[in-house]
Amino acid sequence: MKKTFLIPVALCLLLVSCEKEIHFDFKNVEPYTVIEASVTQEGARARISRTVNMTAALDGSNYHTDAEITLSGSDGTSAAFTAGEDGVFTAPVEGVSGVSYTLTVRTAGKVHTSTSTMPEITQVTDAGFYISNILGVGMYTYDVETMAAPADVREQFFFYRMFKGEKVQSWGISDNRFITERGTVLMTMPCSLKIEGVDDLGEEADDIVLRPGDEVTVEAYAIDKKTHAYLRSDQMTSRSRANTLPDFTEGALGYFSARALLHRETVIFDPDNIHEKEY
Amino acid sequence: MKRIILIAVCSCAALLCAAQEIERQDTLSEAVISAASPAARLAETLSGVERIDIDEIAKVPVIFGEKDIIKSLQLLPGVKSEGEGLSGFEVRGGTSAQNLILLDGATVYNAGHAMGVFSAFNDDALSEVTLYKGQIPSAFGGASSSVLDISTHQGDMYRWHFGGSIGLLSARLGVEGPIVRDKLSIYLGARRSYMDSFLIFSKKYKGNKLYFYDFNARVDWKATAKDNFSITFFRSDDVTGIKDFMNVGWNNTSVTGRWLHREKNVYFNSSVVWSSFENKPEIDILGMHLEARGYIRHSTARENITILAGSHKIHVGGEITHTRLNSAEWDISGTHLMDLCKGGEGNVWAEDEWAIAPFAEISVGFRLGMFMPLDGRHHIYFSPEPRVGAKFSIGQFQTIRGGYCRSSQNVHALRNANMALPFDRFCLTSAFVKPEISDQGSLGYAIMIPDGSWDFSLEGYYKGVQNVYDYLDGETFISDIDIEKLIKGGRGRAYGVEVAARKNTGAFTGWAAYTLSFAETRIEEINGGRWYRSNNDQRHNINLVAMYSLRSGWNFSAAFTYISGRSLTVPSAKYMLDGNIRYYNSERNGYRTPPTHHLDIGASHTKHKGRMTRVWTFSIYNVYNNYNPFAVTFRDDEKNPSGSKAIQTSLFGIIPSVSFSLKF
Repeated sequence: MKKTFLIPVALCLLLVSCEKEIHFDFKNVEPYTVIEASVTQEGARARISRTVNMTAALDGSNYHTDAEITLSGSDGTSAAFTAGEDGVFTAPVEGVSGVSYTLTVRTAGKVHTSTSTMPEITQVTDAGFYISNILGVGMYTYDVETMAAPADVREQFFFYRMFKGEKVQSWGISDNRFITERGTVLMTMPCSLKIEGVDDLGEEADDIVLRPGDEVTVEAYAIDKKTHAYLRSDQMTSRSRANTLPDFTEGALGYFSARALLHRETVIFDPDNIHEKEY
Repeated sequence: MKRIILIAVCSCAALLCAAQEIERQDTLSEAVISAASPAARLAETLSGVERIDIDEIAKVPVIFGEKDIIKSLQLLPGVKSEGEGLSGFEVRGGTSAQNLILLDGATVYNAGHAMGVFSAFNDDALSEVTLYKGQIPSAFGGASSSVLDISTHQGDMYRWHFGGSIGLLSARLGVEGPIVRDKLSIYLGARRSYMDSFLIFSKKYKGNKLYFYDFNARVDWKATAKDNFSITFFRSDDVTGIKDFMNVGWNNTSVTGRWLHREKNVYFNSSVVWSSFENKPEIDILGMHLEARGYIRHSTARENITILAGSHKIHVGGEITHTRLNSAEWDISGTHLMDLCKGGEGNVWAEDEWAIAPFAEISVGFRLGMFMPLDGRHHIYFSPEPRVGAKFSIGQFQTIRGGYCRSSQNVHALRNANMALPFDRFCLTSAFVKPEISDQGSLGYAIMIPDGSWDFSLEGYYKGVQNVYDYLDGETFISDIDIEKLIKGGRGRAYGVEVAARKNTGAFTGWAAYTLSFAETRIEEINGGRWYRSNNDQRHNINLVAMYSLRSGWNFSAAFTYISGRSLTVPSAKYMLDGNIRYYNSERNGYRTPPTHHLDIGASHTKHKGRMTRVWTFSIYNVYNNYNPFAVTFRDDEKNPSGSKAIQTSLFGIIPSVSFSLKF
């Protein structure tokens, strides 16, 4: 009898709220150069592409090699990039903490530059899969914890991501304003919902689930403040109606980061051996 | 970790939206604004003044038993909602944060319940409502767009009355009467939602919180024939919480003490006011407790003197205000970060409403404001604000009105969304943030049919605003504590034309209103420093309201609203970065959402029996079930050759409702 009270609520829910696709007459703009480049302890790499209009296909394979790229460091390092067959430019530079690197890209008649400083390497104290319960929904996460300096002594910024194959499954940023009781910075990558019968789900569920046996690669980096600000603005663009912060001169999109690799691991997803974490 | 926080915040927002859907208050029948009589409208000296008759509103059907003065305002020319079904209102190109809402002289911020679906005001507790959307009398300041001046209901000095109403999602009670006959009266009114009552029937949602309440109290004392004292108290509170995860709440509290004294033709209005607005979203997640608490507190002492001297009505006065504002007080796992601003403000004013001739009246006023941020930097801002208005009558039934008004605002709201949310942050005028100053000129013409059955009005305006602040690209409410690093100031301008036709007498009454408006913003570092359409730039707004009364006690009403789409930033290009699709916007607000339109109908039946009056109200919001845009987002779509698609989210479809009220 009491549940009859729910009838009006259920009825109302049926009557309200909906989502539908709408169509815009997108304006076309001249293509912009997009640069994604980094230098780590393992070397320097860069990729150059161009923006496409909204109605055009974008498959990630339209990388350009018509560019001259050089890297110089505050320690006197200097190197030119060479293009590989896969469209990736590389340079034989091993990044060093504390050094500021300037990337210069000459392409399409313009010169784009950006500078980034490689932070210190911090010790990773824990890394692995965990399961959390958020609002009654089970969620698998991959957590990386690294030692944190007090925020009023030194700022620390971090970037982390998880790949499933070539595709980024999850990424995020953190900083040492958010310190756990253990004095660490926690980087949590939500990587899969816990769903019964996950094998029966189609490919469209790949964005929200990992299946047993899936191989994923996890990376965590220390980054500088400038890169953190860029990535934070990147996270916000869909909500704030704004573009990402400019990182390169002369209007190029993308960013350059000198970052210190803290952790990299390739693991097989095995939900039977994942436990809840004591926070 | 930021990503987790963002996920949590987005989850909260999604759940709150779901909560809104459950509450589903809407706009229909709050429709009826019958301001003063057409003759009174014609007699108004200042342009852009709308006086709302609360009693008239009570005659029309309502949804969920929620008469809503704010939503009624949205049917006036030049006024519109900040989102379908929401109580936040925007006036002549301004945002809702640029309106000053005064309840018995106390400032009310974010005047909505349940994320704005209900207004924070219980209409039973109100007596007079006036909206100044053009010229603002010199006694008012602190808003760059409009002033909504609300007076609360005074308890009956002679008889006791009790009343209440119950709707689908909330109920209200009121009591008033004489404590000492013809000397001392009291009014108490309260309203509470009971959406949370439904939650306890669900094992899954039991323990969650989802309710609001508001409470009004007023005591009036006629001390002598010349002296009246009153004390009013207002409290509104919203609580939304998900057990062991998050709470989002905000509240307004105000206390006003007033002394009215009359000495022949001189009227003294002395008041002291304290008001507080607090917002406090908090989240417990992954062993961390995050809180972002903010508040704005004003303490004001005010004196206004009105002198009637022949053809002159002169107002002089002054006020001092102390403001404490905390834009973000974050508590993150025991780490306490606070951004507290304080300011002292003083204003003096003088205004003369002078009937020069039977066919001409002018109003000449001047307000001088002084604001001093109490941050140790010894900055003082002076705001001279001239206000001039004139009315010329052409015969008995036509008038031409025009004027100029400058006003300034020292509390600045910063939003990432189109609407007021508990996540809004505020900042105070400081060495870095300058007062927002608006200059508005308006000119209008009004005509009335001699028998008063119809009247028509036409008014145009142009408004320029200095020191409009917005978040820089890529910054949000969750960015740095030091808000001054996140924002940038610029200019705004708005202009438009408002047309209204009203049918005032007979069984059939109503009005039609049309507004053509433009609103633009220019902020360095945004949109390449070029002018761009403001987010609330909506070109056309049509409101049609019709009411029909029968002697049998039945009243029927219908309201149709059409508003052009909001300005929207839509990507012009896309690119791949770090393995994901990213979007590039070539211009800010270069597109529009689809328009919003809905037809609402209602019927009410009133029966009187002795001292008792009971009213049944039935209504249907959005009769033809048109899903209007609430938000537009862009998502990756691998099935689509372009790899992306635009999704419109709508909150309200067709919504039937019923309420019952009883008063004796």
